[in-house]
Amino acid sequence: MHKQHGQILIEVMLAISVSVISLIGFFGLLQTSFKLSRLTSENYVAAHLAVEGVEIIANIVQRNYVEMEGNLDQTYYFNKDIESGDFEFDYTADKINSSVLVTTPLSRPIQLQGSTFYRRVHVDSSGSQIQVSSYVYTNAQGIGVPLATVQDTFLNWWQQTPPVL
Amino acid sequence: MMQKNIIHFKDRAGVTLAEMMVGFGVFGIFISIAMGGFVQSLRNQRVALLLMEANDAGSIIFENIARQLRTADPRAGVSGGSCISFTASEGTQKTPFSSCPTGMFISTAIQVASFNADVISSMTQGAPPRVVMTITMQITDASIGPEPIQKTLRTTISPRIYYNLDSITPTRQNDDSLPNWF
Repeated sequence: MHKQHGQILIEVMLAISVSVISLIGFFGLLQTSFKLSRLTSENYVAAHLAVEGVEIIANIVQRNYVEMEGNLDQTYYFNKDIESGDFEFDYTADKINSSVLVTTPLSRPIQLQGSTFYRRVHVDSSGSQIQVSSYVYTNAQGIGVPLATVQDTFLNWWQQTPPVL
Repeated sequence: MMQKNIIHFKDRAGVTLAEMMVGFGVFGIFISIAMGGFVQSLRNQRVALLLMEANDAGSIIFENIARQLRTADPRAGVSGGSCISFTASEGTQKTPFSSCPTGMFISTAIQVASFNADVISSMTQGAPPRVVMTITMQITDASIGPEPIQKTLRTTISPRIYYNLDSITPTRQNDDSLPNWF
């Protein structure tokens, strides 16, 4: 009889341990699922901010076209004020050049509802086309997989080449 | 024999009761913790779903405005603020969400808390402006607690030049050596 008592206690402890371990796994899964949902939510915001980076370049290209109109002396051209490199700029930037070159760590945080985002825009600019890649991160180091990436290419359909300096 | 049986029975009963009490105690504590966690998980799940819905609604509003704005006439200007209005390419005045989006209910739980369109005009005459749109969605639902959750989206849209630029500077009207812009 005494032996049986001992066995019952061990059985109970074992049963509870097994339940605890399995339930910890289950709750861990639910927690991970929630974290992923939050990450997806951040991705939404990041995607719009990444589009903003491309849209600012697009806006400068449109402006260049307007400036080229009526100015055939080649002081105005397709990729004027858009240089190649990695840049970090806000929506007021009207020159993509050394004045907005990227720094390490990134130094222009975008604060939205308590979350902080950083945007790095890579530009390959030539007389025939401008390739833009916009990356949005949550960390200032700008490393790892970005929350959102948007790429676009603007072709020089006006076919006016920049001046050879 | 009878006496021995009774003692045996009493011994066994006592131990079983103690075991049962310990068992129930541990079970009760464990279940209360587990239920708390489970209720929290359900709430989190609900929050995640509502957040997704709020994000979708914000994106749709942005997309709706952006599609019209990209083909708007940049020469006619864009009027910003809590409402946005501009002239479409065919010349009609457009006000997406004819009443301004602020306060608009997407569903019983989701509402547009604020909308703002900041228009940044170009220094160059006739060049398209930049429209910086910020929208805050608010989630209010009994299942997520008394505090509403807010989610803010921001993006910038620039109208594209779709027209023949010759219309800006008449000096080039008859110049056939350059391509038209369509």
